[in-house]
Amino acid sequence: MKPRARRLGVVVQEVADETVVYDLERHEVHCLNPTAAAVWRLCDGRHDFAALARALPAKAGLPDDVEIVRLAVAELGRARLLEDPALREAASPSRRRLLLRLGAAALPAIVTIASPTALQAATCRLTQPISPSDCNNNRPGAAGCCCGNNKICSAPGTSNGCSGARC
Amino acid sequence: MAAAARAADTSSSAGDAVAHVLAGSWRRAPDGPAVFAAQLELATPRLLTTGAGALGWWRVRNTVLEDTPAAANLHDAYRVHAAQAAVHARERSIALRSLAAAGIEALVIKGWAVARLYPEPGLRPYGDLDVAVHPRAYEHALAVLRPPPGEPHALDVHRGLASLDRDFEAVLARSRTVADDGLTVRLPAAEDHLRYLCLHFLKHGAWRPLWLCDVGAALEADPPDWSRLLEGEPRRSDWVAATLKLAADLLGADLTGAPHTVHSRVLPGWLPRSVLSTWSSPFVPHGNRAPLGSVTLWHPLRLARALRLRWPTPVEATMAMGAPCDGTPRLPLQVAECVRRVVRFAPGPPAAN
Repeated sequence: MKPRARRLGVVVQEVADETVVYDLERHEVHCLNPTAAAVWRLCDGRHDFAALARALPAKAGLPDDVEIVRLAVAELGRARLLEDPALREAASPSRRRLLLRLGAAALPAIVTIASPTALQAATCRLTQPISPSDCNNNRPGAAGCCCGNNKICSAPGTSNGCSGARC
Repeated sequence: MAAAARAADTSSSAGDAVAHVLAGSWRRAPDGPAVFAAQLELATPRLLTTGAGALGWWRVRNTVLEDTPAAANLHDAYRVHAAQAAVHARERSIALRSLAAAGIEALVIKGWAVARLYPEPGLRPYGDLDVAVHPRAYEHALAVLRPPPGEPHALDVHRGLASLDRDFEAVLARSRTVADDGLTVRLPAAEDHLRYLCLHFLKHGAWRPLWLCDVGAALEADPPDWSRLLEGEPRRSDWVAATLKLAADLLGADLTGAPHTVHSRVLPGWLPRSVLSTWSSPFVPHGNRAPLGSVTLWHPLRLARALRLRWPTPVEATMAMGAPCDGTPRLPLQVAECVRRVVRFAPGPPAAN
């Protein structure tokens, strides 16, 4: 298997020590730590897992370890940052086992944030209201949105988040 | 100094907490007073809903608070805004090339024009690209920039600079250019833009703390010619000076180079109180609320609630009535503005049967 990073429909921005990838089709933001970002950049569709692992020390200062690549590819696949749809369901090695063996710094990590539309700057402008429970549970992007009870989600993550002005 | 004085007050309102967290947040190394966990907890919802979440994160990263749940939400906002900044860069390039190809001279204002003054992309989110064109070129610009059917409109075209008491051609003559991704972008002169930002902040009821951060960022990253900044229609100059002092008092903005009249100005108590009160509560700016006519006015409770929602703040009333930012009571202005709004937006009497 020779994974290829998805380049269409994504916008990439380096932010501090993270690589932030905005999926324009799904309006999701994925934050890749340095390990995940390094593997993603190496995925050119021409190299298999072993070759990708051999490139890690020179390209990213990481151990030559194919399990790192497998875990990263599994997570990148789930985040739909690879072109091959089959990789979305790829089995991943045990993160815990890798953590014990390599330490946290070497592990790939991807945090996904559901982003409102690209036009939103500050307050939510979704045309459909969200449920109060989405606001109370601090669903990503809920802040500032109009709730189903016609209140603004002004205190996301609290028990009465939809408590703002009427919308 | 006033911002530092509030540092010890841990029993602050949400508005105070917002101001405390945002103090100096536009700097590469924010050096405001230490933020307490309770303040961050209190401020975070308001920071997120007003677009200042990324700045909140910038303030608390690399501190003991960065691992708190509140900080995690702010960090997410920073990441999202950074990603969106990259998307907007593409849209901006397309729009500006279209304008250039059509021979339309445009000034980029607000949004990106001020976001570029912050140390990192994503710290200052923006949605639409705001461009101001000469009033004569307005219709043409709209036609040039109209998006294809079904696509969202990411541009806000301004007919001149209405709220700025300056002739557009004079502003254009003083404008400067900067390079952005191979494009030449025209921006207003620092003093024109800062004056505009100050007036914009007050005109919209000072509801968004981010806009006062913009004033701080512009003061420090793009220092103005002070005499040019403060020249113009005296009432507006008064409002500009008040906003600058407010940025200093509430957020610790640096007024180096400002004339003594600005430095030593003592703001009337109602002004910072009104702003902090606005920042404390979920606030829907006037103009974004449902018209009064859509409310069933003949139900006393609903009418009372509708009027309470539309009761102008001291800042709104001052701007609407064109009053100075001085120590005179605001209540008469608020009553007058409320009456004006009711008369303007209430429905007519029921039709006779």
